[in-house]
Amino acid sequence: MYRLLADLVLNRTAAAVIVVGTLLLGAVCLVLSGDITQDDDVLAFLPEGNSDIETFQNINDSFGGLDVALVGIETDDVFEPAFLTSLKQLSNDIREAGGVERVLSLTSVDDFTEDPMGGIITAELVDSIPDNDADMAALRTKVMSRDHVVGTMISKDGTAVLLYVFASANAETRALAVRTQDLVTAAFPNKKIYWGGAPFVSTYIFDITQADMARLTPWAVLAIVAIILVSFRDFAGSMLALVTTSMGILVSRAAMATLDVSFNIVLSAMPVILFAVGSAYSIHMLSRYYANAGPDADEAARIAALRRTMIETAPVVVAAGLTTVAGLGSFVTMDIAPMRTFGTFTALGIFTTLVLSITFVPACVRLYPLKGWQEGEGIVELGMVQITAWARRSAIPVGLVLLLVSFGGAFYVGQVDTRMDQSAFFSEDSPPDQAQKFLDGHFGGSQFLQIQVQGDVGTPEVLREIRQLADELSLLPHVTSVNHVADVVATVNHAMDGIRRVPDQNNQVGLLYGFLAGKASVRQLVTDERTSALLHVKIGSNKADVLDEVLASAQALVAAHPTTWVSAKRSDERVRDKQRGQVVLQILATAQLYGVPLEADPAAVDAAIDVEVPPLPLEPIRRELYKFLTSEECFVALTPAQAKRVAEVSVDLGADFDEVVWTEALTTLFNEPDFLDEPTDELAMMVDDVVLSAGVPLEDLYTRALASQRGQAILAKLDARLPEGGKGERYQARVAAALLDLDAPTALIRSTNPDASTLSWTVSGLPVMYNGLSKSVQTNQTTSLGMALGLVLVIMTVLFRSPTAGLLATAPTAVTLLVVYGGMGVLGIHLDIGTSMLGSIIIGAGVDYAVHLMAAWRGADVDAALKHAVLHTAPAIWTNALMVAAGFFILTLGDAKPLQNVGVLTAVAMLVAAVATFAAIPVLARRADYGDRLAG
Amino acid sequence: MGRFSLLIAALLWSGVAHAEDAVSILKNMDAAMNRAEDQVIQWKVVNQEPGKKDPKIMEFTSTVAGPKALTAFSAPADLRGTRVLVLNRTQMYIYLPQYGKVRRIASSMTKAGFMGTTYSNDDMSTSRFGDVYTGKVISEADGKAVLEFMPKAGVEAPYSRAMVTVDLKIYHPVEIKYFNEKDAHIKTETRSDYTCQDDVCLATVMRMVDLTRDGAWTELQRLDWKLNTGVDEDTFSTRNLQRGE
Repeated sequence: MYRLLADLVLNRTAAAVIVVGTLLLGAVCLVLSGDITQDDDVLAFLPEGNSDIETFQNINDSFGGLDVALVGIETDDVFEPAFLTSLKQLSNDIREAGGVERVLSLTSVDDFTEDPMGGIITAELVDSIPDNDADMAALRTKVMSRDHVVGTMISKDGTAVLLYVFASANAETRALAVRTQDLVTAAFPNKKIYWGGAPFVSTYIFDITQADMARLTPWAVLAIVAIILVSFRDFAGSMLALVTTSMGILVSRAAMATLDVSFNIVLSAMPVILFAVGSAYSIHMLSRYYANAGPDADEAARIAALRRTMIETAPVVVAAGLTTVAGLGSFVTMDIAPMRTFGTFTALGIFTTLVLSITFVPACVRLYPLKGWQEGEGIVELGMVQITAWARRSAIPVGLVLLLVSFGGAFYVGQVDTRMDQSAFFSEDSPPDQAQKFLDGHFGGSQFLQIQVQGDVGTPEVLREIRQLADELSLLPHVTSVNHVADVVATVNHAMDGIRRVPDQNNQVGLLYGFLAGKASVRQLVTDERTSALLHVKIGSNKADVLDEVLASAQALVAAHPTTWVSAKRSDERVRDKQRGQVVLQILATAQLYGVPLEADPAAVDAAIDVEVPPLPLEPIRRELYKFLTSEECFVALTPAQAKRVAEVSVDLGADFDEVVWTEALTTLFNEPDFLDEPTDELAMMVDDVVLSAGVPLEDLYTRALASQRGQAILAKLDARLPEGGKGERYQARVAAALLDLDAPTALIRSTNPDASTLSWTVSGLPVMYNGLSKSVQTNQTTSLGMALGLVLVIMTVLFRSPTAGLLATAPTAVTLLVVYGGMGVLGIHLDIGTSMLGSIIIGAGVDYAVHLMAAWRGADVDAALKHAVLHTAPAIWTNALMVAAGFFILTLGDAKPLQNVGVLTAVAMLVAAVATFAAIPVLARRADYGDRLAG
Repeated sequence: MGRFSLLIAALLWSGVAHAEDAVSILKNMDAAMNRAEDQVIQWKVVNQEPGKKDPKIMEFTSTVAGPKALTAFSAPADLRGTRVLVLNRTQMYIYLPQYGKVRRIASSMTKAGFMGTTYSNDDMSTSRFGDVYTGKVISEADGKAVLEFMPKAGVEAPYSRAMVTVDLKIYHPVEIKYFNEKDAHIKTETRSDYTCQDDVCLATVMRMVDLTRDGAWTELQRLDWKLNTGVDEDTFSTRNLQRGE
């Protein structure tokens, strides 16, 4: 086949056609490749068909906004009017810029306050910008009293704010991150800004990698060219090598443009790979030609030398090239689309370079026969002959060293961290690192776990079960907050009923849901149909260890919750036990939320619940009832004096007042001569109105007061040191609200009854998705490595017509893989999308050295064959190893950590592959005729 | 120079002429929209959130007299029996049958959606545009005038600008485009299929599209409409709200 090819290329006309045709093809490809589109979508790197990722995406579709971009802004005083004005405007601008589900910030969060005239006021927390010191102070007091806002949207010291930008489902997160950055920097040009959360971090990694590639690729190519020129010392030959490589890139890009395949960030590494790896084929062809031609050959001799090169060297070059194509081609087994694209089109580029090295390059030489050179025995050749001969003589110690290194590598391969660790993608003090420290320090972290609950989440029983899980989660180490629908329902209930708890009746929950309809913040917690709810768990670290720990704990907690249930009444002991357990959890979890140092275990809290409660003081009840009776919410028009008397008479009846007795007492009061200004025939109706209007509020007053009294007694028993001021009072109120759940009429209990309702619990979120990605990367790594190794073994076996020779040729690559992956284990470099590319590249490129060495393996005996092979190939092998190493080493000079990892590992791998080739093959070779057995 | 002056004079005259027309149109519009002594209207509300398969349905009956309104929900089941009394733009009371109590809700969030719809409390309660906006006629054709509404000086208007298409036969708006302070078009309301009783007209369908929420929309479909029923002033009291008489 190669003789036929040689005959064709050596025909002058055919050679001219090949050269012109190739150049025309290059021109066409150059035009076509201009149409290539760029795909910046980070989400495209998510593997397909992975259940964890599908779950995450389904949840994202249902609830929207799981991808949260976090913007931290530092300032001297958040309450400065100018700062608040800009923050308010910025929150609106980001929301309206598109791709955003909602923006949560200090200036957009809703607030409920007691209205002095009775009832509640709903407004934004910062409903107006203060314009004087007194208003500023008032706003500061109001904001800092909102426990759910401090440490979430504003730092405790009031010098920093955090905006949560929730991306819409299917929003292009990179575009969102860029838009948001533009808006924020325009709004706060002189402030220190931190960019956290997955959209910013992934965009940072993406952008910095792309910038490094754009900046460093020319230098990497320049280094490769310089090494070619220095080692080759032939300008025309060097240019031919570069033209073939450039053609590989052009053909690949043109094919992408024609097939409408977008260019992605991984493909930006293609030029370096092609220049480093692909140029070797032309170099090998030309160097053999130069050696075959010699320095003094005339044109006929040069053509003969070219023919010999094509017949002898082309098969070796083709085999070497095919191993690289196989290595890169193995990427097609991956479930990450951009990686498949990278593998496919880089393999196409390599293949093009390979084809041109055995067609275009000889054709050029045929048309313009280059002068050969005398194959010399320079210092490299002679040195390598000495070294390899020593290695062969010391086969046992060298073999043992190779074995030890391989075993060591194999051991440390097991230590390679395969977890997706976002922090491993950026360096110390890089913007994401600074943001992480800022968020951990001021706002409890930036990582979120989501837990989806599917079932009838419109019932009080399920809402309390959700809250129970939330309380359990919030007591886990590293969990800084848990946001869930039960808390929102409780908050609205507080506005409507004066107490922050999940109401007891289905219809009450339904009504509260009705008020929450359409609110963006609620859409992220519960679906409209109330068949699914989501808990958002904030974790105070982005380290893989911590995320894994929280994830495992969360999964264990979730597994303990019932999946089939019935609603049972308080008469059932299991209900009472459950309610008690939930209340204990609430007291502990709320203590943590309010920073109350409650040094009590659940058993101690449980015991304290039964504490003796002192009698209820009635004066506060009278005051509160009076307040109601004089408010606009009471529809009976009473004078303050009348209201005072009504309050006295009503409260005198005690907590267990009977409506009939109360009506009689009020009737007596209203009939008192001086009570009413003038007689009325509607007295009975007035009394009836008072009973109707004040009945429920009075019951509520007693209920709340009794719970509060009990809560105080429990906390006293537990020696709880309450924070001074409002925070301590608010904690007491939360404990009191929790205690009311002890009297809830029903609770959810586990049931195997066929009619039981179902609940499903799914842990999801970015940490779970990272796990999915990690699994995918591991699978991809195994599959592509297996495929690449298998293909290479087949190619080698066919090439050398022997499975043993095939194994021998593959051995140095196996050693290299073990050293490189073992090195990753030692150095703590994670296996990620970038580093998972290494294996196949190492196999493809590294095995070339063994191919060339074994192809030149000829001699009377093994030692002579070794010497012959080393003399003929050592310079080319080292030149190539240095070229690839230099090209990839330059990529480590940038800021992108993924690129640094890939660059340094590939550089080291190529040098190790060369060393392993010159060590393993001399030690393991048992024949003298590997080169003679070459196929082709 | 003389021709230029004439042109300016003509433009000024035309502006004056339009300003007068706008005042007249606005006055007629407010009169037409508030001509009834009282109205009792039953609405079906279809609320479509972006990305959701099925719209949410609500039903309520509003008893309206001037700026006061009493709204009683009959669907969905969760809201049945809930009544809302609106006395003015910032003050309302709600009766919660599930809790058996009335709560006063003073809201400054008048731009917030009414019960999750694309209609804000302001949209629901604005019945006299002339109190809030000044108008300028932009065009007139086919019996319709397009007016530009700008907030009156010293009045806090819910929108920074509105473009209102008025049917000059009945002096009711058929389309209103709302703009925010950055002059971005944020909402479009259409009112269609007007029917009239005596000289009082009311749209059968009103639809509000919120362009800032990926095209979320709410449609109010009129189910029943009674005019001048002689509603008692006590109807709009908290006593009535709780007693439900």
